[in-house]
Amino acid sequence: MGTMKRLIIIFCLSVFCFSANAQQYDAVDKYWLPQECSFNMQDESLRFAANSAKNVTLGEVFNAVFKGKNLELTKMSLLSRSKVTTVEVADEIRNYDILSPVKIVSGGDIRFDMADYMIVVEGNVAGKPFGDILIYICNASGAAGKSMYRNVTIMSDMIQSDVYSTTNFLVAYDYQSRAEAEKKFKEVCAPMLAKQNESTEGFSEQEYAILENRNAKLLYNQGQNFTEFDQNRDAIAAFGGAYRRLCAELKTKGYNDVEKKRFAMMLASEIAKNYIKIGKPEQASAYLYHAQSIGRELNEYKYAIDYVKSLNAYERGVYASKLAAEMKSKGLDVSDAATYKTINGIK
Amino acid sequence: MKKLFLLAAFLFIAFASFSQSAEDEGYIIGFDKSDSVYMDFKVERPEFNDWHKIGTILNELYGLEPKELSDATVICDKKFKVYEGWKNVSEIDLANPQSTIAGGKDKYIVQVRYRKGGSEDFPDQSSSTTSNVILINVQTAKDGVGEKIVTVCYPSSKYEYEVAGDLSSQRIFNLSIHEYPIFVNTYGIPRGFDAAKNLHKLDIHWDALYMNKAIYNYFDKKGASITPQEKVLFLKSAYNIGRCYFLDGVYHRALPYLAFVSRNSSGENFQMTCKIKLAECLDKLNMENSDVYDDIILDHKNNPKKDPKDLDCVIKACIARGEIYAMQKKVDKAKECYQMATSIDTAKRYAAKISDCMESLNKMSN
Repeated sequence: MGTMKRLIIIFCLSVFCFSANAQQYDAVDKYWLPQECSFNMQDESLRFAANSAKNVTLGEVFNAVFKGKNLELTKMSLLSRSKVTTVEVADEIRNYDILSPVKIVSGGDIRFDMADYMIVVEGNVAGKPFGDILIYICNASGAAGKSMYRNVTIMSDMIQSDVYSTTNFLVAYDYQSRAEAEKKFKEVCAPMLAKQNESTEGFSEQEYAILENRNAKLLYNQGQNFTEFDQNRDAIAAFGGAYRRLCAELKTKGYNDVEKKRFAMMLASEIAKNYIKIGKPEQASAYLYHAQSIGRELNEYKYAIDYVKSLNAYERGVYASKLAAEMKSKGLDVSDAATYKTINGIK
Repeated sequence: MKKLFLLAAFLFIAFASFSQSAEDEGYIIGFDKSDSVYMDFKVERPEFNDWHKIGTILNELYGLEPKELSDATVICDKKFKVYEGWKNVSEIDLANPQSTIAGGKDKYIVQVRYRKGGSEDFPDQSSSTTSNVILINVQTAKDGVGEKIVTVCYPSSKYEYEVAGDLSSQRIFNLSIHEYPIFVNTYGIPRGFDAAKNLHKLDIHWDALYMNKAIYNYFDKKGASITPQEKVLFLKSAYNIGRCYFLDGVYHRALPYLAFVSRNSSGENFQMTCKIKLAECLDKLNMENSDVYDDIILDHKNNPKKDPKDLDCVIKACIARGEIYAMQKKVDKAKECYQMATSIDTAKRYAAKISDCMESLNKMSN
């Protein structure tokens, strides 16, 4: 019986220690795992990771971004901390560590400054000068001891045809082994990513952390909170993230899902309301159009009211009459409907 | 002075040669002889003299008000200078940045910082982690005369930071602008249309857009009291604005103008092309456009089109609608659309495309 008691105590202690470890584990993970998800979702050729023994160089990045192009690099200018530094030796430019402007080496430790910076590269391709390549590096994130990440935007006229376009990716700096980070991604993140646009019921704290910027419902909740405190631009960003996810999904699936359409309509309407609230009606216009368009299809005409109000004076009354007639022709109950009265009253 | 003279001569020759073929070629609309009654109206509104300024451009593209711009760093020839205060920043004229260190230079970069949103009590939550920078790259076109290519970009990752601080789903714009917007004060409405058309043909859509905006606003102010003849000009300018925004990739701004013209231009020879453009615009914005295609198809069924340009639009609509039905696995409906397209496409211009669509439909039904 004594042995049994001891075994129970050991079991309880183990469970306690395990859960304590798991909580601590989660607390650190939530600072780097969401970014590790993004990192792993990037095209494989753009997954650049540095560590204490390896830098990510401009040459390496250019080889991946401008595949098959033989670039002759003539000048590099770095704008960082209100200072411009210029390098004009091709090899030095190619071997330039793109994280070096914010890298702080102290003793054996490597830390990073949060500042953003810009690198401009000039040169030739096939004997002709190419348009300046702009590299903007910002948004420090991650967890020291695990992995840190930087958001890199490259703007160039050599990515697609000859007009300027951009490519975005995260560059990692690993304090852990890359294999370990990838293992964690496969075990923890990959199964969660399937829940991107699903109901949020029963989500764990870790799922919230990883999906908070990827799940339409969570983004919608964030947007509502921002709206409540008049943080309209943040609300637009949160609703916008959810809206674009849903619209892209609806398009690839042939616009069949009525519930997702209804959700997209609500989001478009919320985005528009926030734009109107901060005095930017022109930016709201496309969202109002979309909300009324789905609203008419789903017989939810209240979403058309703001759109009708946004039209120019020449068209407003005509369009309002058209919608009112449309409601009647569909056999909708318009006798005491507030929406009908509002639309019909717009002249 | 010499440069100005050469430019004026160039523009005159360009305008003269294009004006000879003022007929609409499915692009921007020029003026009709019947519009000449408006010859005396001058497009000279002072508010349209600032369309190359940072404040105007960032407001159009990302909805940033000039007062939200905090500072700008102009980088040019190994030098840089920071311009502080919203007025100094928003007033920088990208076509002619004489007030900055980039004056007279062929290329330069501007890094603009904007103030974050939020409210007085609750500042923006995302300010610590997200960029609040807009990058602008300006280069003089190699084979143009005073033409500059302005690339405006909001740098943000497609992934994690897509949400926080996001300004627009479209993040990069390539605008072609002219160094000397001298012609804006010179033309009446018909000539204004023509000048805009010629600017458009020179691929300077941004300037053409503002030329049309001046005309649009003139009629917009008339509201419901607009005459039928004025209505046509009003619609033409709106169509042109929509097309110019579309050509510059500013789809969310193109949409209201194209939608307005599509709904109100019944009987006009540009209605069908406008509807097709509206459908394309909706597609670019990931919005459902099947109702626009249905509308075009139904219109043709009720009132068969004869003009080749209109018929071309009907064929395009049939094919695109068929593709949407195919995506929805509605095989019979899709087939019906493709068959209708085949019956109209007597010149067999779309035969290969329709055949591909049919093939993938057959594969699906097997």
